[in-house]
Amino acid sequence: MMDPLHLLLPEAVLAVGIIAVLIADMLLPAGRKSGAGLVAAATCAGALIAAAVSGRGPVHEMLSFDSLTTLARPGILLATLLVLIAGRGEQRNDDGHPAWAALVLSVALGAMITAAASNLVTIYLGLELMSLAGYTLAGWRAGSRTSAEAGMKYVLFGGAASGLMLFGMSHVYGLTGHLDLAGIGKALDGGMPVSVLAALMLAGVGIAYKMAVVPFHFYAPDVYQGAPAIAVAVLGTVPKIAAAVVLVRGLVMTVPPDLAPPALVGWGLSLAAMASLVVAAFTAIASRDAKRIVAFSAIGHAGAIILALAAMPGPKPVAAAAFYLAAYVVANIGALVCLSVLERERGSTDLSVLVGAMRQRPWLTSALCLFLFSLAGVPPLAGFLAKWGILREVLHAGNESGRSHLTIAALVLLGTTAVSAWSYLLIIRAAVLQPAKDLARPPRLAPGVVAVLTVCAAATVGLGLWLDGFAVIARVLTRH
Amino acid sequence: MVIGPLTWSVLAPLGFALLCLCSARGARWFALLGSLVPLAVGLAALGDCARHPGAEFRMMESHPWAAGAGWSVGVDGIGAAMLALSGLVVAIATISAWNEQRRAHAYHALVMLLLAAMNGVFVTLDLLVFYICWEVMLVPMLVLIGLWGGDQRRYAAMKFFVFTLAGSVLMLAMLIAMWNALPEGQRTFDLRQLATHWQLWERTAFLGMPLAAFGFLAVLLAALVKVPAVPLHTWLPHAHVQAPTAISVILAGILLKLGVYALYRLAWPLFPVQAMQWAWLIGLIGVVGILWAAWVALGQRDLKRLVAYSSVSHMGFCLLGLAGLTVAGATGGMVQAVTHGLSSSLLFLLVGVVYDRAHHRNIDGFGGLAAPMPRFAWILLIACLAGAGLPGLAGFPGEAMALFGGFTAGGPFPWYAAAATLSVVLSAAYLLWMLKRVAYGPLVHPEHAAFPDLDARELAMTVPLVVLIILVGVWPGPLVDALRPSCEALLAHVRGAVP
Repeated sequence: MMDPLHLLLPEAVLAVGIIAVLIADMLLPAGRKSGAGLVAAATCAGALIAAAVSGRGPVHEMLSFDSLTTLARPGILLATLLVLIAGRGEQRNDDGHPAWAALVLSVALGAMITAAASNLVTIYLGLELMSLAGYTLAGWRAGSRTSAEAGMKYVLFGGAASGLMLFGMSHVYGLTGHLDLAGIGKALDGGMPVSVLAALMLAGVGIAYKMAVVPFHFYAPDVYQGAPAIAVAVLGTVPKIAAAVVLVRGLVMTVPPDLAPPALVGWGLSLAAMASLVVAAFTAIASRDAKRIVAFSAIGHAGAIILALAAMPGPKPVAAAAFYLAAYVVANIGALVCLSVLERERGSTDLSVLVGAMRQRPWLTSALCLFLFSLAGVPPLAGFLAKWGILREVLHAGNESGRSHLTIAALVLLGTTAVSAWSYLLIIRAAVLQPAKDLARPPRLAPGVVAVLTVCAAATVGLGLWLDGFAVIARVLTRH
Repeated sequence: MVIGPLTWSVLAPLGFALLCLCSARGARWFALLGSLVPLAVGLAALGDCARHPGAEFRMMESHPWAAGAGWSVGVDGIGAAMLALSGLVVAIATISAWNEQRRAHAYHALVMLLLAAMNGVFVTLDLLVFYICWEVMLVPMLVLIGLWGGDQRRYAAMKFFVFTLAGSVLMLAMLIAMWNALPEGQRTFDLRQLATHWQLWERTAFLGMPLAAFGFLAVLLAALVKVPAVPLHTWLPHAHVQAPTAISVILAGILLKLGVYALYRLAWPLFPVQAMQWAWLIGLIGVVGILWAAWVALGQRDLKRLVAYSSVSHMGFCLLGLAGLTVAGATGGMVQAVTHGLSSSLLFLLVGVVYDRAHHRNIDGFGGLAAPMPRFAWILLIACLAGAGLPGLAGFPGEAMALFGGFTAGGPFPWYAAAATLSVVLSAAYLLWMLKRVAYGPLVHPEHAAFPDLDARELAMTVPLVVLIILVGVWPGPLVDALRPSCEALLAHVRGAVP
């Protein structure tokens, strides 16, 4: 048998890269510290290549390299790469500490481990690595009270969620005698006692927290509003991919068929999804800060992804969720990179501060509008096709199996689409429609920012036209 | 790959939109050229329909895309008329905004984007593309009203966006449910094929009702918000009052017709049983709208609000005519949609002319404008008479045929038609009363005596409409010939569904 270690190549590249970034920081002379950012970006690109060549392997007790992993890894790495490139130009001044890049890489490493984990221990390890780096990123902006508050809130809520998750995991271990997902699934084959279900739900809290699903969403608006926009671009996307993968794997491997969707757990998922969609849509319209609106939209989008998973079993709902995640990630990173530029120039992303952005930076603000329209689900952009895919699967499952709660949830998704459009319009109104005076000519955009925005915009338009996408992803998922 | 004329009618505005962005000075010329392409294509197709009447689609072209969707286009008489109307109205609106100074390149580019999306709706034979174009229209409208509008423009723009978005989201659920209902391998969005599957929508359950009933309600909601029908009309006066003149013209001249077009192209062919069953309700909505909006128009003090409500009232005739399921009525409804596009555009242009000079639109603040502006008064007279449905002008044939269709249809329709006849009196009252207060009588404000009459640009945008209004009024034959076969085929399809 071949040594399975080569399967861990992307993770190994990342780990080495993190150390290399820190060493580069020490060695580089004071004026040229930004070179460490280059090392970080190169590391990420290297990991991407490694992920492409490392292939897939058998399911191990700790980590499994199945089709989900092969799908999630490039997503995580691409998102990280985009943020690193955009952040390099953005963060050069007061935030330009190369440790920033090392932290972003750490989040990515944690996400990679989580996305490959098939054991409660590795899941916890991955999530914690992701969280620890994330806490620091949220509180990164030294001397800023809101940023410090964001970091603090993230730590407190995250710590509580981790504790609950660990508590649930220990119960699962005690009740089943297994830590690996496949073993737990086997032990529960004869039926699931209520105690184990409760323990699994507690373990799921950590995932729900990472995805910011109602009722574990309370931290998100404050953290997003307080943290630097470029940090939010990491925190709002990369952990979500990892958490979604864990959720899918947990649903497939541990929950026995008599409880898994379409049964009880499906009910729970669609309830959580509806709650997230409604809470996000209606609270977002009362917000007056662009990052806060994006935070609520992230909660709503998490609800849509959960809803797709409630339509399991089968690869198609998972493919719809994966496509949705891809559309969400590019639009979200794009929007937050735009906001991070405006935030840096204007001091905050409060709606009153964004006035006149269109006059001052027409291309950047147009791109921002494109991303917001995609998040709002306006055709022919990616967000529309993604919503379309989820609705298709959810309505199909609701119709085939008589799960009327899915049909209702689909209508909730449609209704909240219209409501949440208002909140995106609030940003567009401030940035585009409101008149402004005395605008200074802004400096040129950093080439990294331009490149990232171009890629994100192209992906937002391109994914929106890729009608075959669902079928292609479903094929990847079912390939062995 | 050969690109046909109908595809050009969508691509050309898009291309000119990019050109507009490049040059602020040339933008208006590019916009004018961009709108002449669909006008020419539409007129060519309309002429073809008038010379060789028939319900078949012309200028067909089809490029498959994926998952059963594709770029397949074609127009019948109704699509051709709408295409020509959209080109004409946008050309006229461009002339009316000729002197727009504020960010002219962005302004004209957005109008071109709007035109491309509207033309996409009119030419496509694919339900998914229809929906996409339907939604894309909201974005340029949002920015056009929100940036170039009046004092409350931002609120009006956002209200317009969310109102019409909410109206059409159910249509998305319908789209997906239909796609899911089709057996694997036969999934398609082709409207002609979907129409043959109407029994399948009847059999498929969705949300505890037949999919056909849900779909019909979804399209109805989306269409009635756009038309707009009372009580879903509340966004319109707001949007109109806040929108700049050219955008009001586009809104009244074409966008409102999209609702009628969606009923004609989607609701009736896809769900014929419901079109029969719910005819009484749609007719009722039409009549209530006709009378209610006419009554409200009587009490308006703002010129633009008055014209906006008169639009709501006149669009009711389209609903009444279509719902009666008679050939005369349906044809009359579509004729009304076209002719109202001419007369309401003219009225909004004239309101804009007055506003440019006086900087207000309060009816009581005018009087005796015929003395300094005789040409303006003559054209306003023609516009008001056309709006009031005077025989010999464009407003007459559509309304008369819709009423005639109502009287000859069964059920409650003769009563509806009788009630709708009242509006002829009401519309004459509010329009002519407005005319009297604005144009005739002694000059109320001495400073108005210095108002210049219509200049060359203003004549260039109004006179073509006046000519067309008289032409269609005196000689509606070709237009009716072009529209009737499609209506006949549609009604045969609907009647064939119910034994």
